[in-house]
Amino acid sequence: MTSSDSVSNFSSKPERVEEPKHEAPREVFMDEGPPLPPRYGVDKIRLHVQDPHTICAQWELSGGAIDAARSIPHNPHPPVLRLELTDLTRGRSITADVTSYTDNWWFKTIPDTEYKIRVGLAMGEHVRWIAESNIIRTPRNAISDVLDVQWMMVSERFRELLKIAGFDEKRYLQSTMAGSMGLVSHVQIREALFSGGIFSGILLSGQVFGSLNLFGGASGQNRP
Amino acid sequence: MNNANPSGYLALVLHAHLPYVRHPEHERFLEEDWLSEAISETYIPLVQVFDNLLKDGVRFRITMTISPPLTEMFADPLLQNRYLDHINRLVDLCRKEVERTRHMPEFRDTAQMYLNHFSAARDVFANQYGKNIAAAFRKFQDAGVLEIITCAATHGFLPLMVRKEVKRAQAGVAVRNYAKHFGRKPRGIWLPECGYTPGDDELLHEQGINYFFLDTHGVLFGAPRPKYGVFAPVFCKSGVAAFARDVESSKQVWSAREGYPGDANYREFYRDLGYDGDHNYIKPYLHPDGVRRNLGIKYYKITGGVDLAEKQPYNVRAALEKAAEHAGNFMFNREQQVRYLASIMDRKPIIVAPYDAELFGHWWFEGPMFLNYLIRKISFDQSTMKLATCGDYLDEYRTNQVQQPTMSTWGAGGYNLVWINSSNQWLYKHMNEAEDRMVELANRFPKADGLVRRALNQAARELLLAQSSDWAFIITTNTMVPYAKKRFSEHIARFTKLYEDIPGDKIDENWLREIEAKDNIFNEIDYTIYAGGDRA
Repeated sequence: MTSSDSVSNFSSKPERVEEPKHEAPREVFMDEGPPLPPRYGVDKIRLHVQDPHTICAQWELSGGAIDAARSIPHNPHPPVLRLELTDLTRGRSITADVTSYTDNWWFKTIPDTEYKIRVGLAMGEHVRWIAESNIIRTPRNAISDVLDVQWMMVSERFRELLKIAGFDEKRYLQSTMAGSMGLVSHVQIREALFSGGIFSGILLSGQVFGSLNLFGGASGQNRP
Repeated sequence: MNNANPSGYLALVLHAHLPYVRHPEHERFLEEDWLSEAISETYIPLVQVFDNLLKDGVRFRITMTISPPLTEMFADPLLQNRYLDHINRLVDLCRKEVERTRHMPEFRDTAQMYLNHFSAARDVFANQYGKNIAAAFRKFQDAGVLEIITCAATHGFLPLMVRKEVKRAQAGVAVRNYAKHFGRKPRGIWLPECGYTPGDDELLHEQGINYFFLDTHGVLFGAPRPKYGVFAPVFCKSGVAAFARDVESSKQVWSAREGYPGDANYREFYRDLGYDGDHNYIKPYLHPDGVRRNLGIKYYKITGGVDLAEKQPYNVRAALEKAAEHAGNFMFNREQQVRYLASIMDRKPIIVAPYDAELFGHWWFEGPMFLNYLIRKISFDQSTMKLATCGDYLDEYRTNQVQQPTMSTWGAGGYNLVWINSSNQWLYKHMNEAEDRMVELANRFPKADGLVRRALNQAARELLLAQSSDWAFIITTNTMVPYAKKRFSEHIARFTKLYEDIPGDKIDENWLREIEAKDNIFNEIDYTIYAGGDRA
């Protein structure tokens, strides 16, 4: 039974069914290419920066270590997949235990900070680390405090230059570049090229990215 | 007017790129229209503008990226002939349109304009430049009015590549391809999406590149603080210069609310004959599936904040007058900017104004004429500033502040959100693994020849094509998602088969020949560029 079936079954009184004005969309075969390899048989974890406040870890574990841990007879501590994110700039770590059915995890981060992550199997107090990532650095999201001794410039003059550049520091730091300023971004031009003629009214609305709400979860929660 | 001693410089930068779309296995293919539309509406109109400026003796300097996939498509005989078929069909339809609108005074001038426009495009393409648009742009570079720069090989998004070797390959393959088409080495590079991570400049330095571009905050948030804001380049420690985008000049053209392209007099992009015309009448000009799509003939103007059905007829004369007015306004504002900057800086400022080339003509129909008016006005109507390329500026100012720019892009949010989010993050598991595997192959087979060499070179092509930033972008913007997924999956599948077949001496030569013919980009490629052992 489909969801529409269930709705019609609970309808309180019969309604006149009108002929559809338009031909109902037929099921279209969408060729999305050959299936991607589900696994590569490796133990790896990688880190990617999304922005100063968000990074994404992706991993694959070949299964051997997990199977071995699970096969321990009468193991009082069933194995749990553990991530350990280390802030290399401040020398501190956080851990997250995740389900073995996921292969990516998003973390809230601090700008201008170096991170690495490792993944392993936790069994009670004992952790067997399996893979360690590349090191990444989140970008700075503010003007640097570092002044070049040979090129130093008074702060007022620097802010004047920013103003001439049309750069609203407060607004910029609060949010983003293209998104907050309502620019018809280069992204929209490409979208028009790739749209195949789908109307989106970009020039009139000036909004494209509003639907991208990826930050609903709390810190360290995986995203849908 | 004499521009011999200007107070500052304006660097107009046009970034032209399309993903490599070539499907010899189909007689007509929908996504190949991207190239055809951009050739008719953007690249040829730009060629016409530059040609006319040259003929009229106007001296100017423009920077233009032509990405390697676009350059390769320009030079591909199959795509050249397909474009000729496309423009022939369009001219045929325009002739019918002139006849159809003969007694419709509000549309007949526009119909005649389209016939003239597309007939001239065909003439430029087939007769003047031997079907290769890259040859036209090369001519302008050789004439000293255009500085053509390169881009990463397949517009790969560098901030999400983990290994240095694969970033190096994106830069190195691009530089070699540039030399093949333009007969020299590029001075500058457009990093795809302005995507930069500290350290990338060292790889550009290895390739002999002098400069690249960043979004405003890439330099403003760099350390130490930039003395001249974004109005002078900074040198990375590698010695490669970074130029940053000026917000004000970008906003005047890009802004949804204040930008020129939204003016009521300009042509409406979304009201197209492909949707308005009688289906039987336009059917021969649609794809064989008969689905209504844009044909490039549009009779209405933006009009204002009204529904598509209420748009008013387009008037080309009024639109061109507006383009001239906007060019004057743009120049006036840049003059004010330059004067003020020159008064507070101890050197001549440079205002860097980069745009997607496809904005001009494809999206903003009058855009090429805006550029035409702007270049002429700057040349004849003022003496405050001069058009210059970033290479010109570096020739004049050889000493610049040393700074470490910050990671940045010109996408929404200013960082990597468009290219990695919950809709497309799955791409990177496969892409990064293929990157590791390509480096592994290159190290394992350092001196391959014959069939193995061909297979390794094809593996490099498949990886490069999978890395195109366009796939992640299309998935985020939810436009032609099945096509992006199909392309990505096909390249990963072909790469994976090669990776598995090469070490076991199981290469299927017939299949290899088939995919060499399909994914035929970069015939000069040398897979050994992936050899090495360092991560980014």
